[in-house]
Amino acid sequence: MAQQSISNSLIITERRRAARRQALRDNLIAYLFLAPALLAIILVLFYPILSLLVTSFYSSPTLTHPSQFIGIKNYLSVLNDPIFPSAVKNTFIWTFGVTFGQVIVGIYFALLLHQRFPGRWLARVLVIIPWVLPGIVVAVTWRFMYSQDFGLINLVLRGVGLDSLAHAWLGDTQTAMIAVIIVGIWKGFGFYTLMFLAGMQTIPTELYEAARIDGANDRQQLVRITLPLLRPVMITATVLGLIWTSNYFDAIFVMTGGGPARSTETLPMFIYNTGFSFYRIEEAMAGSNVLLVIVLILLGFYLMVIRRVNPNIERVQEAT
Amino acid sequence: MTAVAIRRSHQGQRPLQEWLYRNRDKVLSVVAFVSVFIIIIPALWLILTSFKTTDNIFVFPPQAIPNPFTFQNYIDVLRVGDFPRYLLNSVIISGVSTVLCLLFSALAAYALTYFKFTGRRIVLSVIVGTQFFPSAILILPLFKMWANLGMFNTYTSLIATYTAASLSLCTWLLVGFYKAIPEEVLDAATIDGCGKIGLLRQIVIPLALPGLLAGGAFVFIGVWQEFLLAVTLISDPKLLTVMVGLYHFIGEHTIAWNLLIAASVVVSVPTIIVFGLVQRYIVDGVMSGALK
Repeated sequence: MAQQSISNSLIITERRRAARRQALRDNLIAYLFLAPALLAIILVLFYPILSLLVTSFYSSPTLTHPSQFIGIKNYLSVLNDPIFPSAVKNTFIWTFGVTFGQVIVGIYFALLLHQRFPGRWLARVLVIIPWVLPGIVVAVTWRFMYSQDFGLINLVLRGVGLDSLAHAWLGDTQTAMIAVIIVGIWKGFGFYTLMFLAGMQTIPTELYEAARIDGANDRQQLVRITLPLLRPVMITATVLGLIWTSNYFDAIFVMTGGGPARSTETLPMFIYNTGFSFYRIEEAMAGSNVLLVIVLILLGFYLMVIRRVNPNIERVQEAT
Repeated sequence: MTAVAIRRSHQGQRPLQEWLYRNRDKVLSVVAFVSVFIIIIPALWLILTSFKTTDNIFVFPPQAIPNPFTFQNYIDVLRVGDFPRYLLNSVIISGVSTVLCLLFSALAAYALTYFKFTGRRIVLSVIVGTQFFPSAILILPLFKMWANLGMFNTYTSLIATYTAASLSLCTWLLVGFYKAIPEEVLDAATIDGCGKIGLLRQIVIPLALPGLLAGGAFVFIGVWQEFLLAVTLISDPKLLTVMVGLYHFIGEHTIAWNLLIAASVVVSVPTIIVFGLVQRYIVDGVMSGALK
């Protein structure tokens, strides 16, 4: 009896040891497989961001003075830059204008293209063209559309006798921001259309059948079934869109460069101009870190939101 | 029955609604195509303009259909100047980045899907988290780092950057495809004496091939289109990518519209083709948050 229990416990410890060896081996192999990707991400993305966080507290070395710790001086100079408040304001106008427009246009097309009609597949392909086009091509297209003398918009306005309205849309501080916002909406609404279409496919058709039996018309079905059930997808996509849009400045870069008179200069554009047009690299570095903090806050907000609507999101993902 | 009855009585009072209901298909079709047409006017206008002669681009009233119809702008853009060189640069940079990214993420996704290891959650959030890094916050750190390393104006700096920045998209997509492989297949292979590496090479990768193709397509197109990092990390005119080359057609005071427009159409063609090929996976990509 005693002998047996000893040999039993020996077997158990032996098994445990084997399991531990196995776990160690698994860990080793797993990290070998992960090594290239992890190293690339840490060295090329995380390291430069962290190193910039450190150097932003130092002055730039000159021939006579080596680099020295100056605390938050760089941050103060970016926050005290007279352009900074207007850049923040522009970022808000741009971000909310574009995201709001994208959601509205996105849901319009999603609802339309969810219906059955002849040629639906073609309409679905054509509608995401703006989203598929490279950002720079979109900017060029619209710069051409908005051009003062031969842009299509002004040509049409002149053609119908509204000559007085025709002007340089991107060259006027009154219209430049709304003009670039329209381009932002045009470029990105396809993302929402795709998201909402995918979301609508997960709504069980029985719900609509039941509603119809109860005598609900199309509008009631839309307001009572489709929109409420799309809410999780809508919230997630919108918060994600806010993060991307606030940092997206390809189109602004190519169409206005932040002008005229810095009226379309959002925060990323302001940082770029500070660093690369005015060569105030230290100030731009501080600005870049301010932007990083904003993005991290928005990300935290996103994670909070996505966790709250999580079960629904997972269902959507499984279904598509 | 009841529903039909209700609807009939409801519509009997409103002839317009009844007509709309009976022709629902046609009405929807017309509304949809008119809406879509309005949306794609700018793109259509760009394509039509690319076939006009330089003089006719600026003529009033504007021509809807180019007359004479000319390919001269395309010939000029592809023969004159450095544009062909930019195309080559972009093909090299996008191609190498895509291959590296696929290789790294195929391995990483394997570990993430099939291994239990300490720190899995942290690794996952590090990899997936980077997809939310907008390039706006990367420009200055990367500019500073590559300049300090003396690698400003090299293919290497751009390729390394793009590879790292695309890894999260690709890995995440591949984890989804790996998970879809039935466990029985893997178990059978393991019983037959297949090792971990053999399993990856002989079972997982062949079965996840559509995922690799879709991931590769998204990475290629993402890199092909990228502008901000390319314009920041490269200034040597011989090394410019197509998107930056396109931007250079916009001069300080004048814009070579005929060349700019033809070049815009040329650089969009690969994007459209690739998206057409992987159309089925676009929604997967969107849902995984990988596409912006």
